[in-house]
Amino acid sequence: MEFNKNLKESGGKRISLLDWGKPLKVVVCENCDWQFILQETQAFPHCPHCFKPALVDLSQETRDQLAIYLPELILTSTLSPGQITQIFQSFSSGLWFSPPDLKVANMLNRLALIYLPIWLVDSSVQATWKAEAGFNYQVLSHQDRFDDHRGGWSSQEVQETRIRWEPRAGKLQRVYQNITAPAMNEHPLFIRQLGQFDLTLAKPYESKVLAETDWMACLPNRGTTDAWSDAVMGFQSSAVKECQQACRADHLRDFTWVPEFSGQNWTLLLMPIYSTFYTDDEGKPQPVLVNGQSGKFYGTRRASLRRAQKTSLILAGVAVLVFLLSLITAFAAAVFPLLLTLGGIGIVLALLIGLVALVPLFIVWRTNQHSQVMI
Amino acid sequence: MEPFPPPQYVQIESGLDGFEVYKPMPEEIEKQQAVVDFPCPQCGATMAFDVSTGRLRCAHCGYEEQPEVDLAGKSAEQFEFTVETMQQATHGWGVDRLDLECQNCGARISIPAEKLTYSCTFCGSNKVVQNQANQDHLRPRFLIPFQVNDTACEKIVQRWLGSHWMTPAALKNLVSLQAFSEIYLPYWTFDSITSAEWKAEVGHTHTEQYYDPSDKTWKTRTRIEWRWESGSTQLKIDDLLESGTARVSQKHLSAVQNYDLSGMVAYDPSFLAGMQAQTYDVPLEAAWETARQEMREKTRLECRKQASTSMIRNFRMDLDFSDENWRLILLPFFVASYIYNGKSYQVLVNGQTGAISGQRPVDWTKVWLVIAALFAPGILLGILGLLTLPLAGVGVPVGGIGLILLAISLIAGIIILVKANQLDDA
Repeated sequence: MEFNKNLKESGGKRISLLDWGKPLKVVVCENCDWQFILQETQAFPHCPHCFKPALVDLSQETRDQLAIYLPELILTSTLSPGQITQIFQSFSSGLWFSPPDLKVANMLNRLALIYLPIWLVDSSVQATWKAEAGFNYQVLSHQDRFDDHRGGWSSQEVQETRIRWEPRAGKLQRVYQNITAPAMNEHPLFIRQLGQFDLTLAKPYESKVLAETDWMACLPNRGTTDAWSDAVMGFQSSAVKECQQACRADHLRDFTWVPEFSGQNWTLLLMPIYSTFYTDDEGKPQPVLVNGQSGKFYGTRRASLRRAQKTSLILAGVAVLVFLLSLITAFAAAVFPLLLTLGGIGIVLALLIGLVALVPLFIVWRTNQHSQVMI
Repeated sequence: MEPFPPPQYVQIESGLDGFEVYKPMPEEIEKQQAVVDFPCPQCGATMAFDVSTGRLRCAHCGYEEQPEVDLAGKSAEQFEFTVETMQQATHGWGVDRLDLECQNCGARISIPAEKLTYSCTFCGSNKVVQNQANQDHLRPRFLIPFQVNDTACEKIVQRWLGSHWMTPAALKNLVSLQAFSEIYLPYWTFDSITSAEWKAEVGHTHTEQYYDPSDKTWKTRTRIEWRWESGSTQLKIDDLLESGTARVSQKHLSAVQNYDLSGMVAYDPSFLAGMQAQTYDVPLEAAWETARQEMREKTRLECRKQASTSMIRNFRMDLDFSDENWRLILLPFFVASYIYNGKSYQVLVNGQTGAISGQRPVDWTKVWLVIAALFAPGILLGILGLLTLPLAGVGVPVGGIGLILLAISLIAGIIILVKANQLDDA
């Protein structure tokens, strides 16, 4: 188990859990090493990331060694229980031979609200920069048409917008606030699965904003040193927008700069996601995640091979029975010739039922080949 | 470490606090004098541009000065058809005449607004007028200097005068050949890329045999099969010249405007000293309209060439202009006039290449004599044929040959008359 012990990254400021404004504790998953902050009185039976029952409380001593960052902004969940139920219904419905555990009630019982962190960094920036500023201007052009039937040429004057590029250089001295950088190594995967969060809707963190119901907040597993390169990209992006404004230009390109940063302050923004799971035939937990802001969800729908096999066996049994009866009927045709036709039909029917018996296996195989669902 | 700010950059107003913005120092727009004089620095007399030497020369003391030659060639600066340019270009000069004061003798002179040069009628000093355009790039910014001198021009004209059999023989040695005028005339140049997509029905001929039941024979006939074809083309049209003046015959101008624009230099008033020069009276919009018509016809012909045969019907084409640019330049001409039999004739000579076009009188006596000479053999043989007709039919072949010769001479005579008329009407 490794802990983020670098107090210097928090700007030398020891922040305690009490600064979050609620009595909290820190737990760690012994299976996946994810660390979570949750209410002291809360208990989760399983890790909301790997779903193993491996969460253990950290001792006070270990807790004191952690660098805890304050959340500055928080995105609250906008989904009602009814909406979440509808999402799970939509996820679990329409699946042939679904696993017995894939039920809405089961998923609701295991539901956990997790707040994923993103770094927010403030910094003073001094830089010299160079770029090309683009200024729109209008030119008059023509589009002509020739038609033998319409007496020759017709012409239409059109206005086109073109861009005049001019070099610019300058200096900047600004303070940029709340530049974001991923605080989890798995952040890109979450975004790919659940879509972007609209960070402009984030509100200032207050402890009362945290849901009254059970929740957990992940601690960052990507340090500020690693996140700094992403933050610099964010600072540059803000600088480019402001340079364009400063130049009074319509466009800006080929921006280069030599920046100096000072006075960095790192905080967190919390984003809500819902996590739950169902177990497949092999008892393996299959996660289902929901974006707590947009309602977009991601999960793997795996059909149950066991149920399909059971169905196939039943159908195969019926096919064998029909076949045997048909054979007997066919033999009886020695006495009653009319029974031969019936026997023949029965044999054909048995073969068809035998073929149909393969269908459940095929359906499960197809379903599990294309099992990821993102909506 | 790169210096900051970069060299030749000046600070400008920033649109945001906390930012300093610098941009390259703008090129100094030369503050042009309204009128430029050419006094000789040695003796104070008037200097003029000498075509033979390509220098400013004082006729009084022989002092010479080289004008600033900045070769621009075909990459000379061009301008786009911005909305502002088109709005201002249509407003013309704003005045009909310019009232100027001669800086040499103080006389007040009034000249037409489109004249770029003038000589003071009181002291004879040469002047070049600048800054009369209402927009900086609507004044001529490039020109091709004279490369053909007076002597060469006279030889070209005399050779040309005697080069056509229909013109009088005495034309070469005219007694009263008036002086040549060197003049710079305004031209617009246009560049564009035309992109076109076309569609048409193209005819393909097939020869086939068919059985005609009426006369029970196999016959051959040609059928045309029409098939739809389509294609696209892109043409880059570079430096299309359009005359900026309507005061000179467009027909003769077109015949001599084979200029090599790689010889273009940046405008300098010294090139115009002592010469006539005019700026445009055909505005940009009108000239561009003419140029566009030429460009789209060129593109249309290019599209038609792509068809698999030349039998085309229901031709349709969509054409888009892009990368349109223009510039206003001055091109050198010699304008000569001469009198023959009391009538005045004009000649234009290209001041760079020596190409010539103009009016020449027709010696109708010579023309009719030639036509008569053409008809004579036919008529004579015809008469001979008639006379020898009673002599065992000898007159028939003779008369026949005479008729054929008459027919040929009739055709030739008509052609000669048409050409003579064209020469006379030029």
